Amino acid sequence: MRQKKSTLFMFIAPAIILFLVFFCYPVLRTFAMSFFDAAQMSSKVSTWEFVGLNNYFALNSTSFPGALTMLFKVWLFCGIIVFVAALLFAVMLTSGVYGKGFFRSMLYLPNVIPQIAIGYMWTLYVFSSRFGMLKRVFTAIGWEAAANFAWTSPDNMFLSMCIAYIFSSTGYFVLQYMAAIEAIPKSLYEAAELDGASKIAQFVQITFPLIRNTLVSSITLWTSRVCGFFALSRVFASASTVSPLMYIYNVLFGTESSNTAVGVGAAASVVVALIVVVAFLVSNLIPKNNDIEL
Amino acid sequence: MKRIVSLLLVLLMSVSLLSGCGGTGTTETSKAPDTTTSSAPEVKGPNENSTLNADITFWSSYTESSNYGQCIAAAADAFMKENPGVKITISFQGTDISSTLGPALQAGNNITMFEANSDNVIRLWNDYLMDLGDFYAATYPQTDGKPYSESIVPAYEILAKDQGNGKYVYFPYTPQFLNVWYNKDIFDACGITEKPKTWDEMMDVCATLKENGYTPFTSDQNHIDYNLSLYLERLLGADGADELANGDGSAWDDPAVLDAVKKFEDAASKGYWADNIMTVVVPEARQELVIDRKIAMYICGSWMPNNVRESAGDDYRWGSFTYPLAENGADDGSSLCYGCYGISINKNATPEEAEACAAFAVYLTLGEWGDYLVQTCNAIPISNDPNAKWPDMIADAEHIYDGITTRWPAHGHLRSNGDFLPTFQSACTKLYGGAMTAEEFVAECRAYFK
Repeated sequence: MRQKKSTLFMFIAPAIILFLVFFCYPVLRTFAMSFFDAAQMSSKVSTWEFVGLNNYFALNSTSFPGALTMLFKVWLFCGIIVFVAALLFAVMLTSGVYGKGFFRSMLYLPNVIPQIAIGYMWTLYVFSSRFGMLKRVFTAIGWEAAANFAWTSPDNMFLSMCIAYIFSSTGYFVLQYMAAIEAIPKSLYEAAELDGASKIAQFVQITFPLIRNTLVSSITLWTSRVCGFFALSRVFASASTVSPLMYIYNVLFGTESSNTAVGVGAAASVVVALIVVVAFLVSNLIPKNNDIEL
Repeated sequence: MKRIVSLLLVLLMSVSLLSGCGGTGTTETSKAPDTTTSSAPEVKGPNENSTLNADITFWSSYTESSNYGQCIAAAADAFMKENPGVKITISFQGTDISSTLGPALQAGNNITMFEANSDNVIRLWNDYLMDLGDFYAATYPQTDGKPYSESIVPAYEILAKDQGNGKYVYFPYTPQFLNVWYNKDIFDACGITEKPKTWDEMMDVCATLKENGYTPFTSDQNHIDYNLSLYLERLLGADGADELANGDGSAWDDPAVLDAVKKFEDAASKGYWADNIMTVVVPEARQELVIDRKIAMYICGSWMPNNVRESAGDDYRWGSFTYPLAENGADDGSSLCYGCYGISINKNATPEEAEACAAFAVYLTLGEWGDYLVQTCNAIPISNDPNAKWPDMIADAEHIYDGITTRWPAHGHLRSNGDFLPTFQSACTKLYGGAMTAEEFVAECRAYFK
């Protein structure tokens, strides 16, 4: 039966309208605002004053470039550790270990806890220099140097924040990798066992090549996840932990005591959005593994 | 092999779980008796003479569970019982109000009145503020026959008019100021009878405290800038402090600034800040202040004693003095960082709604309910009634406004550049902790401005 185009449009219209109103309009408005000086986020367009690229130039004399550098470090260093740890856990949990479901749930649990709660849990109960878990454990075993390490001092705040972020992010990727590994036919491993391949050889020769596509897509997911870095940046407050989103929030809404710079905040938003788009395009350039059909 | 892997996983999980179970030995707060011992005003029956007739939607910057939120809700209930024609719906937004109210007003939501820090009211919602001049000139049952404008503390009447560029755009309440708060028992135990008026006198106080085994200062990292920024305000005055925060950075090259920071470096070298000043996380420092009672002073806003009242207990005796003067400073002590909260009326409200809003704002902030708000929330009275009683907790600061002729921003000029603040706070932490010299401090602040 042939459908009329108008009928098709009628069915997809709600989705398109919602997309235009709640996605395209704010994006276009923010992009336009980045070239204007506006008093507030919700100021009428007629009150905006055109300033050209000045908002983008102004970003250079703020903490925004430092915030981008901070974000890149989180993306790179935390990313490497999260991926390696997630892969390790995924391989362990798919090796027929007892209590797989329990361990999987426990690993995923930090992912469903709000980042703010994760942040306070780590700062107050793990890193606290007075009664934190690390202080007590290291003191109990007599390792004074480690017990006295100042986890929450301004110089070490970035390190502490990264540890908390890795803790809360690993479980998400464990699940992804487990699903990919479990899709690999057992017969491949059985054949490799018969041929005398070690566990490490099986991982390098079978597992890793067959989950490559998942690994590549997880880089894209990780990038978009890191770009939304905000809550931990507020809890682990320090000059070295200001994220781009926190910078944008502060200049868009201000605080009780500071002024707003809405146009500059919009320019920063556009820069972050462009970085996400470029990262997505670059990750798509990584060739997919289409050689093997399972 | 599988068993070993299982055991390893169990070990890892256990460590993860334990991370949420740090020691508790020193975190127990002393359960203080409820400080809200003053009873709520008697709720009267319907006032037959009331002509008020309106439905009001009131957005508040407090949370519903806070003592402020509970007091506002109780006052609204009482007001509605006395004025049956008025219906008040309160939406407690908390601090999110700075990001939620603007779009809501822009979208034309029916928000008749709102309250927040007066700086936010002016900065964020200036386009929606009704001119309250007529209401300031009117009398109310709570003003004893006087116009409202003559019933509030003059400093706040002037502030309201100043912030509104000659117009009254909010009803002030909950005055606040920055000050030095200290433990009176510690000062008494050390024989300190005079409050310091200059930096040198404050250093003498610190030396006495150290000799007696006490630590002079502590601070959480979100308040750690107040000490140095207030000194710089005293030294350089408003313009000089503003230039440090919002100039091109050259103000940090001033040798006077380096000399000022060196005084703090010297104080840090003498151990005048708590040993853990580098590592405390909010709200650890202020809790240690009131629970351990080994640290004497904390520089913060007048809201701080109320925030820690449950940990401090009823027997904690708060003392207070205005931040000491700097030698050869530009300020002679006639300036103060102060502000207040303000209740505004949406300029799109109907005359009937505006009249009801104004009546409720005055009902809440003056008279019986104003007194109740002051006592239950340990707030500062806005009433200029000479009999208006400050809460015992902060009564030591009662004369703070005497001789004040210049208003500095509620949190000081150094905080007016929110983007610079994390750099300044981190540098202050390291300076007080002895991990940074004065030269390094100035260089770090200077580097922000590139």
